[in-house]
Amino acid sequence: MPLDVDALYRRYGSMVQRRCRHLLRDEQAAAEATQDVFVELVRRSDRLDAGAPSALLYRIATNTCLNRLRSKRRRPEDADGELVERIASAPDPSESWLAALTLERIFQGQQTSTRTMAVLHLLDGMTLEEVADTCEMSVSGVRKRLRTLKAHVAELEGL
Amino acid sequence: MRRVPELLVERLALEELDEARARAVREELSVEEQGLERLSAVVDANEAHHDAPAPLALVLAVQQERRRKRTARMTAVSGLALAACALLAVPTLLPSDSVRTKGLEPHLQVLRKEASGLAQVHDGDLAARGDRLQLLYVAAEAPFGAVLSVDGRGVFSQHLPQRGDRAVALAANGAVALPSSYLLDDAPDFERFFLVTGPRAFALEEVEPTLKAWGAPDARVGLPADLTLSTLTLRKAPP
Repeated sequence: MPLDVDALYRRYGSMVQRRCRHLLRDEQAAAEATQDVFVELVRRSDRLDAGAPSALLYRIATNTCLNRLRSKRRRPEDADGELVERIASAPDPSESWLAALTLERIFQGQQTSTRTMAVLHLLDGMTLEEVADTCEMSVSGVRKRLRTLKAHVAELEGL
Repeated sequence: MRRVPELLVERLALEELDEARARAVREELSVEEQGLERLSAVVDANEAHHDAPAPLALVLAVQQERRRKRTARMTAVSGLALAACALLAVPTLLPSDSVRTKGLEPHLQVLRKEASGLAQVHDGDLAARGDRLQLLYVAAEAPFGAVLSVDGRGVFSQHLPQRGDRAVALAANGAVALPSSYLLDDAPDFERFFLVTGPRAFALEEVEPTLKAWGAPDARVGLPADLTLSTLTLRKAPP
């Protein structure tokens, strides 16, 4: 049976918008990302279980926003000047926008799901158990995945 | 003491945590500065959002994704059938949003939100105040364009770009939905939509006078020679 996207949007749209707004700090980009999240949900609908999809939507939203940050960073028009301007106009640039950028730098080359897990753990402050619950993985699996980032983080910190 | 992660607050607000977990998160929030206010704000925002239908652009994107999935499945089935029959390779051409039709002219498409979903409306169809419309353009290889409209009161509206005074680069493939939908007001008689395309990012002021005078026998008159005009007119139902 096809997903009732309208019903899902009514129930979870507000949460997805908040998540995207928090990570992207841009109302228009967040609106576009929210749309992408629900389209991605339809894309994955064959593999959805009957449980509450809030955690899945949250993960998709996180991943979608990280991809947007990555792709924007690669575009030539996204010069430092524009980034500085956007950071300056953000409500609290010292908090999550800068943190997201830093994280984005750290997560280059890591698996998407690892990047999402790392945001949940490092940016959102979830415990490993909570990340495992959200990502439907074992705690040891999460710990192992996050450990793969450590060398990369250390390398960046040494720069 | 940590700040309770957003997802836990969200799931508590959605009542998707089991009883023990919900109690624990609520306790954490009660000792966090402004924690319960944060929860309350999320609950309020969810309630306010609950009456908002999915934006037409989203509904449309979902429909496109579903079509894409169906097409992919059909292509896979066709491929298997061909292999099973040991036929020589014959290209299987299935409708796809990403396939451009050779010889297609730039044009507009209009969808109307109805109780049963989205329905396409055509040039000359009847529309009414309160109809929610989603405009789409098909660039058909035209690199730049703008979407504008004029109503029966002579009010001119700019849909693409929503802001700015020049035509914008158009997406090359398929029917592309504009970022936001359009609610018809009570202007009488008609609503006429224009897609102006061309090889350059022309200034909108180059075309506005002609489009505003759309009632002239040939609305094409006055447009720069390198621009192409496509129109779609909806008749307005009497109140």
